[in-house]
Amino acid sequence: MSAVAALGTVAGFELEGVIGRGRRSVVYLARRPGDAQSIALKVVRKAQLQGPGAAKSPAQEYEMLAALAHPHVIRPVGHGEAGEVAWLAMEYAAGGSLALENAALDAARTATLLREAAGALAWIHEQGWVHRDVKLANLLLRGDGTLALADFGSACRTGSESQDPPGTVIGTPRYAAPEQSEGAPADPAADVYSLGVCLYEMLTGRPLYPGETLTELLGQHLWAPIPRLAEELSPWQALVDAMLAKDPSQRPSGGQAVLERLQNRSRNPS
Amino acid sequence: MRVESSNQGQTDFPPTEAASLEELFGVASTPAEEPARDEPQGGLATFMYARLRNFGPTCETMSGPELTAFVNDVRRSLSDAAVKLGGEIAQRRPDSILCVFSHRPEDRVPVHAKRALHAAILTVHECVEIAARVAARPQSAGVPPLSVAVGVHLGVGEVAPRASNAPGMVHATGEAVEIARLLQVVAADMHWSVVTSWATRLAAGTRVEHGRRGTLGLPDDTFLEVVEVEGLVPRQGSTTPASHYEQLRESLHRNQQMARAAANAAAAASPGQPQGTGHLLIENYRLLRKIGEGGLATVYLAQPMAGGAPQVLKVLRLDLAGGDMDLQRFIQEYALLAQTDHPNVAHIFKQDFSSGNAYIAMEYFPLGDLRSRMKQALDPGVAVYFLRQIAAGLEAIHQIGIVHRDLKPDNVMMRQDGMIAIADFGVAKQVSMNITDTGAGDIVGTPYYLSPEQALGKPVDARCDIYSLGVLAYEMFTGMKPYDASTARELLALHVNAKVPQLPQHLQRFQPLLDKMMAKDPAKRYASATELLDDLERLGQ
Repeated sequence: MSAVAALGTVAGFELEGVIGRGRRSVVYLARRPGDAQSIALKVVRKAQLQGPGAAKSPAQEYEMLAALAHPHVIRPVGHGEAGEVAWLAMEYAAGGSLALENAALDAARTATLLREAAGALAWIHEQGWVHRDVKLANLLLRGDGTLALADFGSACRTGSESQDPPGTVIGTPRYAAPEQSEGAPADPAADVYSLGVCLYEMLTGRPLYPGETLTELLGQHLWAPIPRLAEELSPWQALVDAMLAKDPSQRPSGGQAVLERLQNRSRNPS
Repeated sequence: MRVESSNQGQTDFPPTEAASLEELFGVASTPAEEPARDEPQGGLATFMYARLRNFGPTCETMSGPELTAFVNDVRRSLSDAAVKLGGEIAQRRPDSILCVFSHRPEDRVPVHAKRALHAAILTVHECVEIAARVAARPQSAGVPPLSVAVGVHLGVGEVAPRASNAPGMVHATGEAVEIARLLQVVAADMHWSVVTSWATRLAAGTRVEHGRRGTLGLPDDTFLEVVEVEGLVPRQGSTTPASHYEQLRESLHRNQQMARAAANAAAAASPGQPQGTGHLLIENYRLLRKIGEGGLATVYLAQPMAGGAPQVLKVLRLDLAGGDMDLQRFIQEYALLAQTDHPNVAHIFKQDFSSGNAYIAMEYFPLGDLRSRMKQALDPGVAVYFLRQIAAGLEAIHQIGIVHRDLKPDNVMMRQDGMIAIADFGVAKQVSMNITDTGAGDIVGTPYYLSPEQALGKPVDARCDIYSLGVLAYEMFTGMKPYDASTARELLALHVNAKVPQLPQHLQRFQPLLDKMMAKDPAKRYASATELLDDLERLGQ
C-alpha cells in the first residue's frame, strides 16, 4: 500500500489519513476535492482478490451493503478500480470504533449499543446473511453517536459450507464462535456468540478469555467456563450466558432473538 | 528538448560548472535534438523523483519578491542538473520533480542510469546550498530545515511527449515511476539523501559510491534491494580537483543531517506519533522469500549482506501494533532471549527497528522441525535424548521468565549437528497471529498439546510447558498422541478429565515421569524443568 500512500490520491480521492488496516486492505479517511464530506475509503490491491481464500472484492462488498441498507449498517457510497487497486467508499463514522473505548461502558449505553448492533444483525440475518466477523473494531460510531456495523468482508449466505481447509480461522480469534473454526456451516448463532463477546467486553472493559495464542483461545471458547460478572453487573449475566453458550442451539438463534431478550429484560428488570 | 532558462544570476556557490559535465561524468552535457516522437515509448529508462521537505513552512516565512525568488530557486535547483544531463521533465510541482532519463541514439551503450544518479547527486548539492542560505535568515529560526530526498530507479515505464504547449515535457507512467516515488519516500524516512535500487547502481557503473544497503518490500510482495548513494569517485585521470567530489559527498551528508534534524524536531513536537509511512525496509539483509504471514508480523528467510548462513527475520509492523503492550513485550522478550545463549534455544542474532518496523533475526533451521521425525515411535534412547534437550531449553527460557505456551513438535527445531532447539516462544506467536485481527488464512492447530489450565482459561505459568512436554514425550515414546478425538471439543474434555495414559510395558520405567508431567493439577506436576532434568538424570544412571 505504501506506493499508493506515497501518491496521496486514489481515484480522485485525496487521502487524508489511515483509519484502519486489515491484512488485505487499508482504510483511509479520504475526500474528493469540492466534496463537503469525508468518506472512508477501503483500498485493496487487485492481486489480493485472486486465488483461493481471496478477499471479497470491493464491488461485491458494495453490492452487499447496498442490498442490506439499514440504519445501523454502514452506508456504501461507491466503488471502483484505479490502476492496481480496487476501492470501496463508505460513509465515514467519525466516532471511531468501539474497540477504541478500552474501558467498561455504563449499562445504559451498553444496552443502547447492543440493541442497535442486534438490530443490524436481525436485519442481515433476515436477509439470509451471516456477518462472521462481529467485533468491537467493526462496531463503528457515527458523529451523532449511533452505531453502524461495518466490514462485511467475511460475510456469507446462511448455511453455506466453509470453503477453507479445516482449522482455518474465520473471523477473529478473540471473538469467533467455537463452531466457526471447526468448519460448521455459516449460522446466525455464530454472530450472536461474537456479539456476546462484544457485550462482555463493553460491560467489563476486559477481554472475555485470557488466551494469548490461537490454540489457547480456541480451547477457551470451546471449554472455559463463561466468566462471572461482578455483582453490579449481575443483571446481565443471564443474557451473557445465553449468547456465549458453547452449544449454538442453546443461544438466541439470531439478531432478532437477541432483541427480544433485550426487550423482555427491560420489561422485567431482574 | 528546450530548457527554459532561469534568469537568476550566478550563485556564489561553486556549483556544477566547476568542471564540464563531460569531464565529470563522461557523458555529453548538451542534449542533442531528439527526433519527434508521437508514440508512447515503453521501455527501459531511469526515473528520478526528488522532493524538497519543509518547503511549505519555509514559504510561510516569506512574502513578496523574496518568496518569488525562493520558489524560482527551488524550481531551478530541482531541474537544472537533470535537464543538463539529458533528463526530461515528466512532472513538476513547486517542491518536487519527476524526470525521465531515456536511452539516446548517440549513446553507444545505455548510460541513463549513470546520468540519473549523477543528476540526483547534483540536485542534492544544489538544494543543500539553498537550504544553507534559507537557514541563515533570521526569519527561519524555529522553522524545520529544508532537505531533499531523491529516489532513482531504472525500469520499465511508458514515456510519451506532452501536448505541444509544454515543450520538453513528457508523460511518464508505469511501475518504474511508482518505484522511484517509493524510493524517494524511503529516502525521506531513512534520512538517506539519494536512494536507488541496487540494479540501478550497478548499471550506473563503478563510480557511484554506495553507503548503507537493505531490502525493500514492495506493495506487491516482491523485494527490491536498495542502496544509499554517498558520492562519486573521480574518473581515472580526471583533472577535476578532488575537492569538487569532496563537496558533493559533503552535501549528501549535510542534507542527511538536515533531514534527521527536521525529523527529530517533528517527533519532539508530536510525541507518540508513529514515524514512517508503513513500507518495509530492512537494512543489511537480502530478503530471500516470505515464509509466513500473520496479523502483525511477516516472516522472511533472509541473507545477511555481510555474509554467513541465512536467518529467519520476523518483522513486526509498528503501525499495525495496536497496543503498546504487545510491542513492549515483543521487544522485552527478545531482548532477554538475545542474551540467552543456550544450545537448546533457537539463537536470536539481533533485534532492531527499521523504518516503522521492529524485527528480530533468528536462527534458520533448514532441517525443519521435530514433526518430521515423529511419524512413528522413536527409539527410547533417542526419545530421552530429545526430551532432555527440550527440557534444558525450557529451563533456560523459564529462568528468564518466559513461558512458551505453545510447545509442540512444530516448534522444536532440528540442527544439522543433531542438537535440537525450541523456537517460537512466548509472545512471538501472539504477535505473529494477532488475536484481535481478522484471522483469514491462519490455521488453528488442533489442541493436542494444550494444558488443562490453558483450556479452562486459568492463569498459566511455566508448568503449562511441562504438560505440553509430557504430551510430546508420550508421542515420542509411542508414536501416538496420548489423547485423540474427532473434535477439538472432545479432545479438550480428555485433557481436562481423562486419566494420564499408560505407556506400553517395555516403557513402564518412564511412567512416573509422564505422570508428573501430565498431571491435571499443575501443583502435582514437576514444579520446574530443572526437577524434570534431575529425574531424567537419575533414570540415565
